[in-house]
Amino acid sequence: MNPTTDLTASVPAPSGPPTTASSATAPGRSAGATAPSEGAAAPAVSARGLVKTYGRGEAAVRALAGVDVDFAAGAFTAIMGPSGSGKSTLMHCLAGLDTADAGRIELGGQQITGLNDTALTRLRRDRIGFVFQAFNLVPTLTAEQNIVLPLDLAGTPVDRAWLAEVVGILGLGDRLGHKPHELSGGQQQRVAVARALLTRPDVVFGDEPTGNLDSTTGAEVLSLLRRSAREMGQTVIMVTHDPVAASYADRVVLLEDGRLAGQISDPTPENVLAALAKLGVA
Amino acid sequence: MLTLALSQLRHQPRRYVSVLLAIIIGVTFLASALLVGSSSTASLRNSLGATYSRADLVIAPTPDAGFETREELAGAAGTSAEPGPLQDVEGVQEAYAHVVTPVGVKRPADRQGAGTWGPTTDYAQVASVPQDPSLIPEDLVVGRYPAAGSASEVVLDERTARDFGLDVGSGTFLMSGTAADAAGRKVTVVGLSEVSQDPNAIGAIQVRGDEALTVQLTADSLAAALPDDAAGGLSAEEQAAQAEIAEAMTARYAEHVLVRLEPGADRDAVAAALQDTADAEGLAVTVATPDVQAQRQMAQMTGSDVFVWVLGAFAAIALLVTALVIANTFSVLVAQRSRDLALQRALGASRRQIRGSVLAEAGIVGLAGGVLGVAVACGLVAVLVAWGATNEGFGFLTFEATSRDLIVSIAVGVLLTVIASSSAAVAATRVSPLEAMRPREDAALGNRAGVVRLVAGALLLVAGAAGLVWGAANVNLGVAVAGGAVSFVGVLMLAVLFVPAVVSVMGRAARPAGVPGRMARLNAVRNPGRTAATASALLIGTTLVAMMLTGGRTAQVQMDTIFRAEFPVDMQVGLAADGGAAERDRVAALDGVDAAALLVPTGTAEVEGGSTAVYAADSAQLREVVAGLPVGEAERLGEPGTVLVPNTVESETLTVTGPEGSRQFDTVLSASSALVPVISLEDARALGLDPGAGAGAGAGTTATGSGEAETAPQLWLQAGDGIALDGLQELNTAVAQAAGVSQEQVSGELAMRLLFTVIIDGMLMVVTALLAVSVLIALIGVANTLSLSAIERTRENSLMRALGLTRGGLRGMLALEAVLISGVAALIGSALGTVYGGFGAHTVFGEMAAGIGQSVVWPAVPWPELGLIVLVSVAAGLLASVAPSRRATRLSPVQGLATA
Repeated sequence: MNPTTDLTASVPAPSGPPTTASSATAPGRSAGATAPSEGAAAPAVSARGLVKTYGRGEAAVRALAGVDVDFAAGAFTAIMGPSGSGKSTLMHCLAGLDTADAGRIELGGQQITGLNDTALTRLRRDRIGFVFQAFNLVPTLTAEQNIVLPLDLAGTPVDRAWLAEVVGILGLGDRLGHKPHELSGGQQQRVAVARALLTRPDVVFGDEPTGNLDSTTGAEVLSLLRRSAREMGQTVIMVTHDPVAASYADRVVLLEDGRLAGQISDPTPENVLAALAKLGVA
Repeated sequence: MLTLALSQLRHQPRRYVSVLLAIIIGVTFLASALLVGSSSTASLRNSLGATYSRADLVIAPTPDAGFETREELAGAAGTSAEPGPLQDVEGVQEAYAHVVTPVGVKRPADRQGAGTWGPTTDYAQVASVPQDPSLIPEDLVVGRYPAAGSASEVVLDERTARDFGLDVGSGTFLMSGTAADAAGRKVTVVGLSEVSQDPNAIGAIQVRGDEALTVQLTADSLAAALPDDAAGGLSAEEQAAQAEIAEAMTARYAEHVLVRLEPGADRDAVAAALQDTADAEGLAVTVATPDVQAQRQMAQMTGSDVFVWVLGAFAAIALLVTALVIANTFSVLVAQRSRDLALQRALGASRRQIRGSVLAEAGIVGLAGGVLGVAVACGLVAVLVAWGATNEGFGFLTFEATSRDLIVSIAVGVLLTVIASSSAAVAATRVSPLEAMRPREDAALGNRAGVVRLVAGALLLVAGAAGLVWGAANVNLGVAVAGGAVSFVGVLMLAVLFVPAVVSVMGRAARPAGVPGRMARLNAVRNPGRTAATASALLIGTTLVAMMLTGGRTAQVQMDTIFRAEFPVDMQVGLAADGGAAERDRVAALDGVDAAALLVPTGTAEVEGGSTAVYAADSAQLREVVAGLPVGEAERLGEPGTVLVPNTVESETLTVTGPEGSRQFDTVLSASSALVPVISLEDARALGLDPGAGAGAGAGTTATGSGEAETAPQLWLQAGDGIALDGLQELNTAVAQAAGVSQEQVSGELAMRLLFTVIIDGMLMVVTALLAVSVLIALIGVANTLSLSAIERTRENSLMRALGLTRGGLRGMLALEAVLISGVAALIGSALGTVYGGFGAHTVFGEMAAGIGQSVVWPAVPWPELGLIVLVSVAAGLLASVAPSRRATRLSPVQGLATA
């Protein structure tokens, strides 16, 4: 569970272009430490020596070739890299969706490598939130049922006040009874974000959450994610290839050929683009 | 087009396994029916051929010739003592007429059961030995043929010899009469022969003797049939009647004449000469070689292949279900492939090519299924025939598969698959090329049925139901059956409306299972068309089975009721004149006897046709022993002042006269003709009967002349419930012994009632087994749909796994979905089938029931069997979910989410 649960009273509207200055401060929230060993609070997620290989023999592909990385709690971090760099694989392993061949992963202070499928499933259910690029929602359930799905799976009663809060923040009040095919792409993604936030997980993982959206709607979703990190202290880790999306984050981690290749502390679309270009050349 | 089809099949062969299995089963069924037909034809030809095989020529009556021809033919051939004109034809060495004389052979003393000729004798056919024994189709196994002129030597077939414990040198008796005490002719067995394969001889003991013996046997039977000729005491009419009997009994009928040619004779010339002679004699016969004759007879005998048609009807039902499964499977396959199809269209494939590709796929699957189905059927029937042929006397059974059988079966397989998949093929052409460009859509959510179809379905249902009810009420089977069929078609057309609704309602029961339960219910109805199609196949099978079971059980109960009404008493025993309570008690104490009542003669009554003896019995005993009385009469049975009467008495009162006066009694009416009037003992005492003084006293003084068969006391028995057909003989013997009378004094229709039950049970089992094949195919369809739907939902299932659904939860979800669909289909089918079966039973038995005063034939619902159907369907549904579950849970959420 997230260490800080204070909420802001006001509900500001989603803002436009990203600002580098943080908004209202709340106690216990850190603004993105840089090096793995720094930072006042323990990292929300950390990985040591992650290795993951796909395929066999000649067709073997080393997606992760020894990754060491920490992600600060309460921060919005982006993972970037050229295609084939292993960023999606890294996220999948960190989120307990896939198992690494070697290495250690700690999430919320608990070692998750070596857990069996049932334990991993419960981990995902109770302590992790997901926002995927597409196909986030179960088509036969309404928006509200989709939002509370992880709690339903756990059999935990829903905190109605918190639900109302989250729904309010995401502006979904009048959409709760609709099925996914009755919602626009942006609305579907917002439902997914609401679902991810509702369980107050240790980490929210996003896999190209704005990949299918137009720029305006994408900006909406990204600022919501940033607000959840800044105002609610929610740890958010997002995989993206889009420099503009990455600029919403507090920190960008760069991957290349299955290894950490650098990081950017105060990302802007320009410096992110420059960093990526350098990667591509090298 | 073909390449594409083949590549699809090669790429994902597992998706076709279920539908292939369904096709194989359907085709196997059809092919088996056809092969059984061909094999029986071939076997018959063999058997007939065997009969004629040793002769050079065969003379046989034409197909429409009657008894006279057969008699004339026998006469024209004559006997070795008195040869006929056919014998005189040049080139003919012997014209042997196959004439059989029926007799009984005495059974060994320790043999159980009743005889097939008389009580202690079995039916045998005695034929004479031709002068040329090589004409006999059956080889002599051991010993020799009877000496010429001997009337006491016989050759017996080896199976009878073994069964009866006889061998060369043994003696036995041939009885010409059927009475138990008929005199027998003693004969000695001098040889044993093979068992005959002649279809006319099946079931009979085969005996060969010299002509001298057959002549003697005819004389014996004549003597047994005609009473002793009282010296000059017969009127002209009686003499004429006797002469007729004599003529009938000495007539000889020849089914065929086997001809042996003289060495060097020209077969065709002799055949022609024989035909001329026969024509000259006015015989309606043909002369032919053995092969030709066998063929001709085949053509006559196989006119009515009822058995094959019946099997074929069940095969048609199975194939109908298969068609539904095929249609459903291919529609799901096409739906899953919409992106590929869109891509093809975008790249330039025409609609026709797309349609052709799907049909080609179907054709290949159908061809594979057809060929495999035929192979399985050949194996099945061949094994069956081989096993049958090992039984003695059935060596003629052969397996034959005509090319027509094979081609028709395969063709049906291919055509069925192609036609059933055509709607899916057309749906495939409707995929727009743009869909290749768009992001992947969610799995199809729902498709509404056309309004036309719903309206038509409703109309058919209403019209059919009306027909069914009218037909049942007016006992018109044709209208009722037509109405039922039409209404069922209507039900199937409306299935898309009510099946998902029922599944949704039943699905609420899965609520306690949490999210998996809720999702199972939602998933089961998210595509109503597909759910309805899957359930329809199972619906057909379960409705038919339930209908047969209900109909059969109702028929059993109904026939039992009717039997009971006709024969309220299981067994009746005629006691000796001094028989009484002692015998009754002994009999009542027997194991198989539930209750016994002693009836003593006590008086007479006047009924239509004269006087009849009236009996008295203890009221309590009487009530225990008489069943099946109409409602309203049964309660009054045995009350003082009443008399139980047979159905010949319809009045409300009957006057009974005893030794000391008459009294009027109120009648207790029955529907039976097998009863005698009975009053209670108290009333009998009032009329002068002294029960203590043995029945003889009462009977002797009141017997009145003609019309009375017996006035000795009787026992009426009610047999125990556990009595079965094969224990009946023992019971009869035990009862006779306990009563101190011979077995002939024991009578009753219990045997018929039991036999009927056995027959119905047997038929029901066979019919149910045949229908079970359809149910099996439908269950394969359920498995198929479920697995394909699960594949369709891979991404969604992976999403749920990512969000926290455990493997066990996913398995449960799929299992529940399968259970819901198959369970609901089975429930609806059972209910429908019971209704149809009930109406059917009323239509068939309505008249008979009315005859015993019953206005409505209520269906006897076979609850345990229906429960079994539902249970089997649910279990099969669970089984069906195993494979898809395994596949779904093995997938990691990442792999699943990445599925394109």
